[in-house]
Amino acid sequence: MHEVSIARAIVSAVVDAVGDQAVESVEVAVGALSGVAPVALEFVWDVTTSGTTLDGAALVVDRVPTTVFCRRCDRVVAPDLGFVCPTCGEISTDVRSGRELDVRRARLREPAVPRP
Amino acid sequence: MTSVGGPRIVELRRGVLEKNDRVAAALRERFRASGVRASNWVSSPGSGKTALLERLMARAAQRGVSAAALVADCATDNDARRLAATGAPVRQIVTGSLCHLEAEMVAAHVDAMESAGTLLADLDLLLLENVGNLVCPSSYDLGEQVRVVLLSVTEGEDKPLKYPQTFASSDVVVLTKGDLAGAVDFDERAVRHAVATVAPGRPVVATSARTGAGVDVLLDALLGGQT
Repeated sequence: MHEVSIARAIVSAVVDAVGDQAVESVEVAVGALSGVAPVALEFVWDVTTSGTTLDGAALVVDRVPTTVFCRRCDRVVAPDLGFVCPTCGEISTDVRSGRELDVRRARLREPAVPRP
Repeated sequence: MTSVGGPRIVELRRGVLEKNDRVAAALRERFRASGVRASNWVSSPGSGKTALLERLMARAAQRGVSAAALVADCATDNDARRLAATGAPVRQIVTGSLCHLEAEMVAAHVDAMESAGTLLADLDLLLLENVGNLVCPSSYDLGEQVRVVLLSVTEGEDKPLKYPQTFASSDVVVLTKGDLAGAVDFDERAVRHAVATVAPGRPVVATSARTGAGVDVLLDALLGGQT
């Protein structure tokens, strides 16, 4: 349960970028391999942002599934288990998505004020 | 409604843990420049990290390998006191309620260790024993060159399948408590298959802190052998 630390890091990344401007929503990408549980992140979001300039801001989580490139099938596939191709059973190390843990964008309540 | 100022959408496109990753990258460079190999030990609580570290550090001393350890727990300095008995420099990191180590904590304790007279440049190995937790530590780069994930034979062969993100982020998988394998009908082939499924290509090192089995192999891997 390190999602409070993750939520604080998201707040800090947004504040770094927008200063004290009020934020309406924050969009993040959380990959299946990132070690972060979106449900837990959503659970701690309100209490973590309370008293910050992100107070009341919505958290929008884009859950990114694990995908790998299967050489035998010559295409990107989404494994059901680990890195095993669901079609042919080959194990791949060529991970194409799932490691994401990114702050994509913030939506402000008012038009942005250019920062000095 | 017309907008008079700038846009309302601010693109960030940055990693949530960018700050941690920056500190970790600086640590990794510092370790490289000092010629020390740092390893980050991750496992569930009770998997035998400290017992294996005791054995490993004692063996390192016999082989003339200079090792130091930073050990993290939510509370107590029990582990540091156990490891200090090997004669090696050891520091306890008490994380409080935090379930994992972050790069800044490691950087602060490395600074404190150097101030106390143990220089990175004099070490061959720096062992970072993470908080016992098989989920949260996997997100945090500590600047280590090798991430070790431990799995005791009493935990169940399918554990890699249950915690894929942690095993996938490892460089070496270490089986511990090998002396108990018979008592629990441990199936090493099944665990190797589970590792191959979620962490293909990672070496699996079977050890026992009680008998010392596998300790030299692990020591060689930490010192920069095939990992």
